[in-house]
Amino acid sequence: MPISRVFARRVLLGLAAVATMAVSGARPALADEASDFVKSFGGQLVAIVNSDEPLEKKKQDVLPLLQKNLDIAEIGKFCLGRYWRAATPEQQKRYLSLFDHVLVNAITDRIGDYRGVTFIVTGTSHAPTGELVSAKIDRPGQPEADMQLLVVNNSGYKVVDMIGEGASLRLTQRQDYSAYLQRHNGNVNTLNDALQRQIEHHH
Amino acid sequence: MPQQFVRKITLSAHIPISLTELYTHQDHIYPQGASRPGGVAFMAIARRGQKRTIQSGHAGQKAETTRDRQGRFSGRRELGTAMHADFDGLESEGATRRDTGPGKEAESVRGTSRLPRLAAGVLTLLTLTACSSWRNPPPKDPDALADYKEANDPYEPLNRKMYSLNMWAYHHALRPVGKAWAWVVPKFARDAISNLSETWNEPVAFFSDVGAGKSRRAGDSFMRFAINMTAGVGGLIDVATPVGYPQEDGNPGMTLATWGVPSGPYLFLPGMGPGTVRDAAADGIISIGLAPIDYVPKGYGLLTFNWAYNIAGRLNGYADAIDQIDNVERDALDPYAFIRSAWQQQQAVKIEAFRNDNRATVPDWYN
Repeated sequence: MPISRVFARRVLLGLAAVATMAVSGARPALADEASDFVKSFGGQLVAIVNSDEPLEKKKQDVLPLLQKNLDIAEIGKFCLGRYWRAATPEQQKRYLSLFDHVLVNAITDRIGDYRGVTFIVTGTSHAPTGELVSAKIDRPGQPEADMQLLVVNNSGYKVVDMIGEGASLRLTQRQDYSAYLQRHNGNVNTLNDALQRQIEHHH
Repeated sequence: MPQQFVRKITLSAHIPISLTELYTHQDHIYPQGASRPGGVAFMAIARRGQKRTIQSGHAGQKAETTRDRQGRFSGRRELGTAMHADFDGLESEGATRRDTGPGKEAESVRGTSRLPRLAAGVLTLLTLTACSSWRNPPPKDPDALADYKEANDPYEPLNRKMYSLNMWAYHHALRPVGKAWAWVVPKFARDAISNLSETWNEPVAFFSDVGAGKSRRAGDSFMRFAINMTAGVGGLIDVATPVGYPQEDGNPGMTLATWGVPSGPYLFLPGMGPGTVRDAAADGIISIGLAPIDYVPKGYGLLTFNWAYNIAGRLNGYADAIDQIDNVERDALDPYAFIRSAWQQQQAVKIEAFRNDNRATVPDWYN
């Protein structure tokens, strides 16, 4: 075998090894960043939940935190599934606006339920769709709850899913909307109207 | 199936048109004249799983989904075949009787048996007609077909009817009674009943673990039962968890899953909540045989205790789940589909965790 070919092969293998090391080195860094992001977000959220402020004030404080740390548009698109492509730009715009309200309402409604909450990040794993950060939530008088947050880095880390007791929130929501749309001839306007009514009747 | 003890039950409702007048609180969701998702239901989201949560992962969910899809098709085929076999059986029996019936005696026999046969025929016809409306045919559109396969719910029309029935019962009886139960019975007593139900169900978990070859889990279940039945005063106090034997999921349906038995289609059964053909068969038949409460002899007041135990366990489950059920009803546009999706995902993760639990049989402190 010519020496040049042996040399070329070694260089190639060497480069491959370096590339593998670079990727495996990058992954822990990504995992650490995702973990730090969740620690920071969770810490701020828990500080608001545990504060002595009145409930309305807590809800106001949580709102910018959610807008900043959740990729609500991405979650909304995922939840509409295949109907996103079929929707007109106007329907998409209205849907995203309504979905934003519905999601924020669903989260802020739960704030009043908890007090004395502790939040600990327990680990990170890599998933095809992002970094999965595991956390443990402890509430007084309640069993410990394990959850996972799916975090993606799209010009800054954001949460795109929450998995509690094995169920992905956005997947469950997508199947809820999908079933509703199937029963209403796939008309996104009907879904938008239903979301609108949900918001109007929210208290 | 009252012997199934406490389940963490989550109910949610969708209201069939025939029950519209009974439920006006969801009118804001459905526009005038729009069809509502039929059905009301309840679900047992995490049987005996109130004190623990399940580690989850997307990879596990995908793996199970694939298996479920395979199982779904085979399960459906089996059901379809069985249905036709029954019908064919009736037909051939009738044909045989006709062939062997010339003469007055035979005429007389035919005359006397006509009514029951007619009734059977009408019943069969009605059943078959009903069956066709119970089952959604696979859609032609590829996207819709993908949704159909993902939901694994070909008997959705029937399941939604069962769901309606359950939610009707929930709103009219179980919810108010559950609320009253939670108000009257102090928390410590409710916890004790919950512990009792869980402990007495440990033999079911033990044999399920043994069947699946999960020796560590089987040992843990055995220890839990032994500790809680003695130090825990017959199961009223959960002493086992603090000493390193937490409650773990394990039931005959999960064991069958590890054997490769396909899940079959999604089923929503009254009183049992969400499940699959496999779960319903395993829980309905095997669990009853494995639960010690079923061997309580009649008389001596123990039968009364059996009833009290089951009813209290049930009420406890409802009382603990009312808030969750109400949340789903409030937040979901189609609670039936919401519950189905959540349950299927949770079940897939539970089975995956069960399958992958290959811990050593020596206790943790030994390592």
